[in-house]
Amino acid sequence: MTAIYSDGHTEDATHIATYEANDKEIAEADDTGHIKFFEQPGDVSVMVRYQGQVGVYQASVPLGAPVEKSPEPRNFIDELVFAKLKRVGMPPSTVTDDATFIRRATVDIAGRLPTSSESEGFLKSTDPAKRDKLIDRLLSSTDYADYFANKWGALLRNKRSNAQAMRGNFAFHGWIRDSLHKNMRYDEFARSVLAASGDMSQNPAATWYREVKTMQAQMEDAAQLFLGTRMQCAQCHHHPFEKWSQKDYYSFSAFFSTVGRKPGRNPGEEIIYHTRKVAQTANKKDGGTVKATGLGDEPMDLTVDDDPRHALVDWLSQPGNKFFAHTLVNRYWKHFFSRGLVEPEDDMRETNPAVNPELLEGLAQHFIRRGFDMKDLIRTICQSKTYQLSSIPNEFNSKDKTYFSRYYPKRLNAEVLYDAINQMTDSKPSFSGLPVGTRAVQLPDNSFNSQSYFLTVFGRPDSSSSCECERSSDASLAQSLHLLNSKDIQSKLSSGSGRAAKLGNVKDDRDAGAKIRELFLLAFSREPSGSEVLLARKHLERQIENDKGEKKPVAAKESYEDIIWALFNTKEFLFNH
Amino acid sequence: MCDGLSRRDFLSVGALGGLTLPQLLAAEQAAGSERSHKALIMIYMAGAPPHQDLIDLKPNAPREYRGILNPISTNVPGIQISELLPNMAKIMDKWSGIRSIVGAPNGSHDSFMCYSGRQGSTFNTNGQASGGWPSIGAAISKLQGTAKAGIPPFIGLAPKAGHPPYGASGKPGFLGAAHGPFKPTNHSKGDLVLNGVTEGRFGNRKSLLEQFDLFRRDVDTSGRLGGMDAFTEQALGILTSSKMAEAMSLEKEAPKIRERYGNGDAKNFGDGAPRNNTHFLMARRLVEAGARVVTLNFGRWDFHDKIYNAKSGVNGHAPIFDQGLAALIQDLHDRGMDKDVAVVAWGEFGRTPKINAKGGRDHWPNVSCAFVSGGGMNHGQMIGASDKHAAEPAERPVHMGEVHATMYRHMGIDPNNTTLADLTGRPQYLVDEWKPMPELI
Repeated sequence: MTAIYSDGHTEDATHIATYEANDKEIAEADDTGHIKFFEQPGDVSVMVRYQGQVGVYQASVPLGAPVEKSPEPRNFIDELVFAKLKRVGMPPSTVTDDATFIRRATVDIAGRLPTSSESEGFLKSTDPAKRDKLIDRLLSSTDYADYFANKWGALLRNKRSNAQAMRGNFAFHGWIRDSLHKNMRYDEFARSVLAASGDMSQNPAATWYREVKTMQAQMEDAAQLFLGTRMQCAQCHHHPFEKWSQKDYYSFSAFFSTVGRKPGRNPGEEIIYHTRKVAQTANKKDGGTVKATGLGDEPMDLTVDDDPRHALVDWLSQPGNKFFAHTLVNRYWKHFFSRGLVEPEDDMRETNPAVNPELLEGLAQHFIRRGFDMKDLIRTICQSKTYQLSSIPNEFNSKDKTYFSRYYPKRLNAEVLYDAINQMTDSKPSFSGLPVGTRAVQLPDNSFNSQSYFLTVFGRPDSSSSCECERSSDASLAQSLHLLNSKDIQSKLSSGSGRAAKLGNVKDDRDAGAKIRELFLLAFSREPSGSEVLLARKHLERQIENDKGEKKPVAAKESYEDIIWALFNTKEFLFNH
Repeated sequence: MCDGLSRRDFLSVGALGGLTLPQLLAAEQAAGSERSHKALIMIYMAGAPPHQDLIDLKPNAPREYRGILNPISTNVPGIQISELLPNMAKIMDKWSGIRSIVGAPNGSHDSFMCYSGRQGSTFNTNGQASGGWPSIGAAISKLQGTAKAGIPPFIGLAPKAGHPPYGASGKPGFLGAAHGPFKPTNHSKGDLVLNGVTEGRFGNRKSLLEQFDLFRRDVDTSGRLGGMDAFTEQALGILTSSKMAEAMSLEKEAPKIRERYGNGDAKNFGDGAPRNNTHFLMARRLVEAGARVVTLNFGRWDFHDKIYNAKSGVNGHAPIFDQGLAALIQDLHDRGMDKDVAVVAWGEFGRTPKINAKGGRDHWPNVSCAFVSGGGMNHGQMIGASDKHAAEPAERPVHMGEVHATMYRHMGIDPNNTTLADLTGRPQYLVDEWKPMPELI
């Protein structure tokens, strides 16, 4: 590490620079710059810092196993992923079976479990294009819009801060959902929100400005959401890991310096407008004035009549922009693969490079070329063999967590899990003020969390941050206790109109085997194994002694309750895998 | 651990060696989970207690300042406290008072400050780190995790209250719901005992689950699947072995001990917390069973009028509180737990020096008081002093953050060098610049 000073002299600064690896399971750097690698294969970056300068060293720890064959690539994703796997010597898992695929894709795209007849039909079908067709069907369903509106609603801070906010919450949620359903271009989606003007009652996208109040908050949220960049730190100091300075902070904020607001037609709602002035703001660091400037770009010459927010979106969505498309494709990659190419997904910077930079670039270019088409992006991802790999490791890749050599399982998120349990028990959730049967993924805002201990304890976000990390996926004892033993879930199980009651009713004269099969299709989208059927049958046919010591069969409803309970408490149910 | 490795050491070893949570838990069990652990019991005196009527009496001040209560001597020569706290007076050598607490942001009622050591509100996250400041219990849960299988690390005993911050047990903030307080007296209470199924039937269910649950654990390297598995295991343990329920059931306690704590009153006082003395005992039992942080909320000390009313005023609150807190401190000593368990009791601010026209005292953020005991700290002292009217700190103002720093240190965590990432990824210190209190350590 050589330091070159402004007077031209150079010095060996190796021993005074600081070094930090971004994945300490793979490698660790000491004070002298020595890097020690561990058993964990993967890509690692080591950041080198000295006097406000940063650099990064990237290393791959290969596994070095022979990669004899990978699945036939479906698209550029597979080519880039499999090429990397070959380089590091890590053979991918095999492509997963149909049952796992329909469950995986339906959860990831539509935020729900497949119905038993969907699964049955899919398993039976011999159509070679059935996976593609499933993806298309899911993308055109309203379930896709519901699920992704749920995701975006939290990120766009559609928060119920008070009772008056309700109308706006519903309208904004509806707007997000409709935009996704009709597949609005992503640049247009971003423009509709960031450059929203008018009365919230007529332009729901302007509701974003209600929760995101100040110029700085608007800039920080915009940067984190659409540029994958955390500017917060640069407000007070030159970020030590980052090139953005306070000047960048304020000049980027200036895009929001002309946002005006006045009372709208409904109480608590406002009219957002561009105040006729030049977009500039004070740099609090040196007291100077800075003009609106895209990150790393030249100051813009805007007139009083230019709404700088449109200039911002123009800057974001120009094909050469290095952040906008990259952030979205990385965000969506993480949605499907549990891990971003850049991780965390909203912290993209030189010192935090992507694990597969060619893939990130390839996805971004594809997304730009296809006209910022979000459904096309999802289709491309889900069609890839990479997405369709089994989660079951082979003898080499069980430790992989950065190369996507297999699918990494993820716990169903709070809403999906709640809906899935309702589906299993055939019960209808009821949230106050919404039609009975409204599913948790369809909830318009965060206010319903307080009605549902389930959603709270499983970590549904409160829309108070533009970071996906607000959604908690940590496990806790309270969650397990709730799943295993809460009154809420107990009453779903034992309800007189629930699935156990129906299956146990003599009017359903199907053989127990058919009923067990239905439950397995519903829970796991697969046929039960012989031993599983046997186990369930044994449970259904068991007898218990009553008070008089006589052996009596157990009511079928009760036994089905037990079986359903056991099924939705398995890891195979709780995880998308 | 027996060999002196802390759990954090263990975690970092785990990070290197690829140890997952269940393995960690198993390893801990193997290492002898009966080892003692550091713990904290924090008591929030909801509504802000009158410092000048409890431990900082001003007998020489004019009557409209000093009120009607008299100081009494304690078992430490030279220290006097209120006549309403006779039991605490008898064990003054086992606790310390702080007469100069500062740091309350304003006069709005909130447990937030007591539980996080930071300014902010239970209602919103304005001005806080992205996602909100975590309380000390949540931070400990995140940093140290479970001490003993089957007992959550962070437990809050406060029932819901009319004024929500009076019923809050400390928020998880940016650490997320999984690190929030386990509230056995609220939601989770119902989840602790079998709901609508007999023990026998639950046993059947459990064996069904074990036979169906054959999904391979090795598909997951993130530890989530294993984590879920470990908690499911613990939850099943709770429901079948009733370890948690046992810790909660006070009938297991000797009648003599229960009498010492008294019952107090389990009903919420107005929109405040209950004056439930069984919570003091339950806190001790939970800490003993493996909880790291237990919080409880007591009463409603917001005496704007008739502060000396024998039922609704400080005269109605303090004697019950005195019995409960003194019993807890004595009990911890009797059991040899006083080194491992620290106790803090305080409110969000103090009360006005001068009694108002309605015979009450109003909100006073300028100075307030705290009770600290255990943790192997120096006790039998009064720290700091207020001026002649108990209006402003006169000596050694102690910021609430300093008390938190002291408690983190007690838990074995360096309060000034440990950070947790907020929702923007920014590392946040546990307690800004506040240092552990030299008087106590």
